[in-house]
Amino acid sequence: MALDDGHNGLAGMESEPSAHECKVWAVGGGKGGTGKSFITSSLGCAIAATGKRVVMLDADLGGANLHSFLGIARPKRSLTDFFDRKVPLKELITPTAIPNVGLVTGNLHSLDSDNIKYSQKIKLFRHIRALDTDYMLVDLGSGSHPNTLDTFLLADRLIVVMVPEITAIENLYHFIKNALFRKLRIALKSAGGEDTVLDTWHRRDKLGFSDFKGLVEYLCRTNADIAPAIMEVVDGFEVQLVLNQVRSRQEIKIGDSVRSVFWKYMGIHSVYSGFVQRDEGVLGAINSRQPFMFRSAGSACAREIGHLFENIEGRRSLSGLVRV
Amino acid sequence: MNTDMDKYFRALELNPGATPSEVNLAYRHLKELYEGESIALVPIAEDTERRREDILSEIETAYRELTGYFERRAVEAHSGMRSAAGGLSDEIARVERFDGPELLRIRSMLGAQLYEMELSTKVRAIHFDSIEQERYSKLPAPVFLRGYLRLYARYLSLDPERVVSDYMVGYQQWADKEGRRERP
Repeated sequence: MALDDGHNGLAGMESEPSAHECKVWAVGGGKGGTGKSFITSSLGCAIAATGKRVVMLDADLGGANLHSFLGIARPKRSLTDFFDRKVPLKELITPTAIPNVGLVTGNLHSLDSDNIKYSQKIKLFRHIRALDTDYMLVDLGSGSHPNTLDTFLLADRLIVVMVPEITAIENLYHFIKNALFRKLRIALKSAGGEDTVLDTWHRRDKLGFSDFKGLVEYLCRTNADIAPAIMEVVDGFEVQLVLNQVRSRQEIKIGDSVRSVFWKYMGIHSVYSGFVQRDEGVLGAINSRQPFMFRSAGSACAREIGHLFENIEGRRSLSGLVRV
Repeated sequence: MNTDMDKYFRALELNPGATPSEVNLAYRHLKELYEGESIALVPIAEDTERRREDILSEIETAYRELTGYFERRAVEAHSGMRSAAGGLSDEIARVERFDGPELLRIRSMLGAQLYEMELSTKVRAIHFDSIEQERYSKLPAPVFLRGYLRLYARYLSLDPERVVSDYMVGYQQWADKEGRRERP
């Protein structure tokens, strides 16, 4: 069945990609302006600095800008050529100003189309995994469009970027809830229960629960046949949290607080991978179209990004944390 | 590892092997988070106060249970040490005066090491050593010395006041000879 075709249902949890498959890291988070493109491009630089090859995919439906972070002009070709003209993915990779880093651009036409079937997304991912590169980093941009969510869910590392601002955190909770609903819907489709989740959620006041954790408990209690599938979705879901634009030591612990809230209110696992401090040099780098990691290689911010890469790679949390 | 306690460790978001001080720290941080108005909490807690109440009581229960569990474990370890000492309590009852050599003798019989005592009491081992060797001139002023003696005594389960008054006899004799006046 097309749905099971290559579908890595448990993103990031079941097994690491095999040696010849590239690792896919998706960067999302729901709100614009938190620095997803900055984090994605900087992680790419950090990875390339270790000698690995990176391909970045700009999947931002709000407008592709990743090329500016990578020091080049907007590429002419895009994923439209993959979907419509069947051009092989590797021919769509544009070299960037950074050795070992290439860029593929999605564009509005190709990516926000509701006509991209799920099977086509699976096909894209299969091609991504078969690319002769070590890492693919996907900048998902903001929002919860189904294509964004599906791409997020298919990755090996589900990375979200937030800033210490209540609106960013609120959007993050929405984004993750949407991703979970999407994942549940896909998982339950074969059991015929895909509408159950949303229907039950909309009746939550009557049914006596108010958050995602309550929804899961209710569904498992009342639908024994789909309970195992639901638990598999929830248990297999893990998000790597990145806190960007930190301005003070007090703000650092917000990342750990979000991790706790995910567990207590949604019942999901997350890892606080690290924080990146606010650096005034970032804006200068963006405006002059130079990769920040090159321009400010010795900065504390650059070092933090290096640690971030290592922690995300090993699914490790920020060490010596808040328990300080 | 006691699996009953596992759920309490999980409630504090710790691994089952966490130490008492890690439990304390986690309890304080979680309590502060869920009692407060952190920007991490407010966006999701607005719709439900009940979940927050449940979480807070879960945290309190976990902390209470884990603290009790650690205390029980410490008592078991302590009485284990005592009963292993066998007729040691008779020995101790026979002591006429707890001077330096007596304290050293009892500590050796109990198998307690100075460095362990340093870790536990935070008093440097060299001070306990000076006490045992009656290196009076190296010891701190009486007000501190009495404090060290009490910590030493408690660690070995001796009567602290008895140890202090016995030891200070010897110390006072030395101090008088040296022409020092004891300050309270």
